[in-house]
Amino acid sequence: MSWDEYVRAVVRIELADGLVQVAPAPPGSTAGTFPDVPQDAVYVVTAFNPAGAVRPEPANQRANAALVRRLEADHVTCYEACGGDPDWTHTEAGFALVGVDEAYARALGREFGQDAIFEWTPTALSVLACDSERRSSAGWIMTAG
Amino acid sequence: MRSRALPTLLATSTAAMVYARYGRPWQLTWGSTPGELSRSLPGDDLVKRPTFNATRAITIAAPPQEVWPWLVQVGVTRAGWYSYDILDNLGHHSARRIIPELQNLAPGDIVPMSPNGKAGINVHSMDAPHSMVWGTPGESTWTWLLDPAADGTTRLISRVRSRYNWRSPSILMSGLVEFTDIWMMRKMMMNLRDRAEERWVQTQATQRAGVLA
Repeated sequence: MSWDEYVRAVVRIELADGLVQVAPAPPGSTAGTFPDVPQDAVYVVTAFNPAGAVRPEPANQRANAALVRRLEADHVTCYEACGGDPDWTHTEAGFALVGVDEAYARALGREFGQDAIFEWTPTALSVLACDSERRSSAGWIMTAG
Repeated sequence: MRSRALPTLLATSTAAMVYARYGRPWQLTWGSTPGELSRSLPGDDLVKRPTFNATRAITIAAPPQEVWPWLVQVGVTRAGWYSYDILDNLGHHSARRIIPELQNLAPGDIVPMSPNGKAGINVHSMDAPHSMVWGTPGESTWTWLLDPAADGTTRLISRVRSRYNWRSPSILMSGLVEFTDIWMMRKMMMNLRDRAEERWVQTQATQRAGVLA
């Protein structure tokens, strides 16, 4: 995905309380109830399509399996998640991480060949570059699953 | 006239914005998990760049082989669609039983949608009791996947993919699907779930009674 595509992307997460879908909104505006999670931040990371190159689904599944093993080894609480374009014609499966900090999430994305990851907080839905400090923040709007 | 045009334009724009922001994201993904949304399903390759791509899912407390017979018998002049019968089944009640003579659906058949039962959706491929693809390659597909879970339940996943042809009269049908499909589909999947679960409970009770006898 290009940076612009990341910025427009919608994120869907299967939290313990149920499915939520979060889409970008004008900066400063939020609509919905942010979940009760440690550190008030959710990071969404995938191992799909490293370096932006589209790979076959089996390869992507293997990469995500490796990501799961890494998260288990690090004892990170995670939930199934995915990101996609607003029409859901392109999606990438991944995981929503809670209880971790920004540096860990960025490093994990970098380790698995990602250009960027998502950060969802009570005030913003952001795209964070994995190889720099670049960040694009927007508001968010939540729709039920 | 001009004084009416502006409010109409504003109302239409507002409705379109509300639909785009709230309605469409909900209707394109109703009930589906992130994994279901992002996985490939049979038939995806038949419509490569869809304009409309909707994945919906529901859990049914019965195994796939108990769900499958309800699915293969659908259609107008057949078992109905288990949805709003007044709208899509000529007002006839959809079946509440498995109909043995409607269980032989096969690739090349048509799932009827017209009052005379002759026009409808082509059955493209079937893999009982796992998946079924209806539709026309390059135009639209409707895939059903019955995914067994370890606890004996089934995740029933439906994916509709279509490519809008803005210069064809079929765009009217596409518009209908865009705005109303979710209501019919949601009702169909919930009613199908209820029927399958009810029959499965009865089947299990009968099996237990047989064992005890």
